[in-house]
Amino acid sequence: MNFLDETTFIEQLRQCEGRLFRIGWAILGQESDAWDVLQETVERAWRYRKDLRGDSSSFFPWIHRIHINCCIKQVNNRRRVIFTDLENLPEPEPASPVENDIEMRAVWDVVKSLDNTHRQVVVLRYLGDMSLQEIASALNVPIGTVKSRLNRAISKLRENFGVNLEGRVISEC
Amino acid sequence: MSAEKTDDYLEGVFRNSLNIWADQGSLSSDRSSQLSTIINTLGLKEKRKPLRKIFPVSLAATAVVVLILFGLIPSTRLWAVDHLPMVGKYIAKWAETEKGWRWAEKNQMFQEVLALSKDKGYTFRVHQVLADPTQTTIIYSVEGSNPTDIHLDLSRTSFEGKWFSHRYGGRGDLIDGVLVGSMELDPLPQETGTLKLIVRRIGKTEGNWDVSFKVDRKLIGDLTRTINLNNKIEVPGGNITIQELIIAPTQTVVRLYYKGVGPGPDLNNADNDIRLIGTDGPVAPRGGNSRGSQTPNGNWEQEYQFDFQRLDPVPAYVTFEFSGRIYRQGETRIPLEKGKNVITPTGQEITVEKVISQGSHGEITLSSSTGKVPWSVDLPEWQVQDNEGEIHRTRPLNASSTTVSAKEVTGVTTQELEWELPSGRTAVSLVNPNYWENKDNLGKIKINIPQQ
Repeated sequence: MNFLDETTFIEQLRQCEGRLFRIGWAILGQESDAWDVLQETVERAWRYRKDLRGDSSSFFPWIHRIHINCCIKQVNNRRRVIFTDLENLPEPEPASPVENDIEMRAVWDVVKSLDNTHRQVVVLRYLGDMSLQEIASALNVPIGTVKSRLNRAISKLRENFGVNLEGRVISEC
Repeated sequence: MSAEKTDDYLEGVFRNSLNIWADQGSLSSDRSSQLSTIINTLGLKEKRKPLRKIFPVSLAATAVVVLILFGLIPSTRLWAVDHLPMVGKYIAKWAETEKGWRWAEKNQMFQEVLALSKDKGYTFRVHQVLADPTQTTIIYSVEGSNPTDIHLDLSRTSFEGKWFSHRYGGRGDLIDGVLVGSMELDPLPQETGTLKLIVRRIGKTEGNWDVSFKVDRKLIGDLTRTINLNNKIEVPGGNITIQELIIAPTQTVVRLYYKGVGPGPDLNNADNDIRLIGTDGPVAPRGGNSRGSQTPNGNWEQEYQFDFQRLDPVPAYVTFEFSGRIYRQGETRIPLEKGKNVITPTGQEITVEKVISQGSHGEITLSSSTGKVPWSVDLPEWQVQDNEGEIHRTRPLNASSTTVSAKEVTGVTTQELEWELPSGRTAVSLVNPNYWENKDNLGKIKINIPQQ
């Protein structure tokens, strides 16, 4: 696939720009920051597109990685507390099957209740696919801190579910 | 049931749900268009860059170079002979400058190819290849009505079925109504194999002129020497390793590698900052290229290659020295008011020539009488700060301002930017968080060359 060509590059970008934007918003907490970082991501991706090989399926993982790095750079560049506008973060649409929707609502409530530092770790882990060590290095915090922030999010989700989780695990076995 | 299994399950729920939510995302058509504009603007800027390795020379003597043809059937011999004069003229002209070509002609090292493809009234022919461990040079011609530049699809051009070349440099001349040109690609990944060129546009005409042919770089490879150096030089933010000196009969190459926390140094030979000096004096540069990327952990890596004319004779030693620009952290802040000026950390004075602020949209023209490009601050790194202290990106105002434009008479250069802010905000100042610092004598190394 010719990623060096503008038309093809834009076509591939169109398929994932919305997803990248949401990921950026979830990490940075600000819609305007997410937009700024997405533009930076696109410029960088275009500049380094010659490093991209393979077919169309390789485009998203590649630009996703660039985007995550840009988000992390933005997080680390901040020198003061930012008031987030998470209340403006788009609500999830109903998911199917119903089980997914219930889980989605529970996760959503947790994500919105987390402060910046906890939410960033959750998003980098589950949307950014980063390892614990990578997150610790990127945010310049001890790996123990990363683990405790993730555990806090998981605990909140467990409370939100209010489901007999032991029963559920047994049925999975 | 173990808490660990439960946590695994909940992690899966997080991952699944967040991914579903992310996949539901979309951009407004306005913003989607803005991203497309960024790509198209950058693409336009690249196409306006001059081709690499343009050395203006006067026309050489038009002596026809007789090439040895081997392994041919009569019909191909016939078309090769027909085209010999034009190809011969082309090689003769550029061999005045390219000592490697002169050597290759003299020693019959150009490989005859004779591959052709016809479409839409154009005939694209590959005549010869010069393949060595440092580059692959292909000599071709285009015939047709108003023959013009080919557009090589570098991302699909392959060797043995695999993409291999990051770089492309080329030149071409119109000779007796035929466009004769040469292109330089990366060295072939292995000694012999099939090279496939993907050509889907000639000038503005779309078509298919793909060609495949066998290439062999073993012969010149056997005559090439590599001297491993691994000499490390510290620079702010990282270090540069001078990796190797490659002495090929066709050219001489120095390769460097940078690793650090910020972008690699800007090393380019526009001002003769990269020098290879033999016992008889400086070796003429041919060009260079670099490519870099950010690693997953946020560090930067960059590879550089600098090409020089062939060493003839090969001296007992050479000296490699280079200067360049180092990427530094240091803020330049300028209020958004016409006539205001600021001094960057390198002492460059920048003035606000014009400011337009209309609601959330703004534009600015900055000027500097530095008398030389590039500026010490990168145009893409300017950010605008609003009345609530938030920082936002800017973008070039139009395609021509993606590079600094210069007025030759006055020596003034400008950068033009624009921005969009969230509703209700006003722009207060322009900020550039980093700058490029000129650094003379970044590195110097004497390289002894064992005599054969």
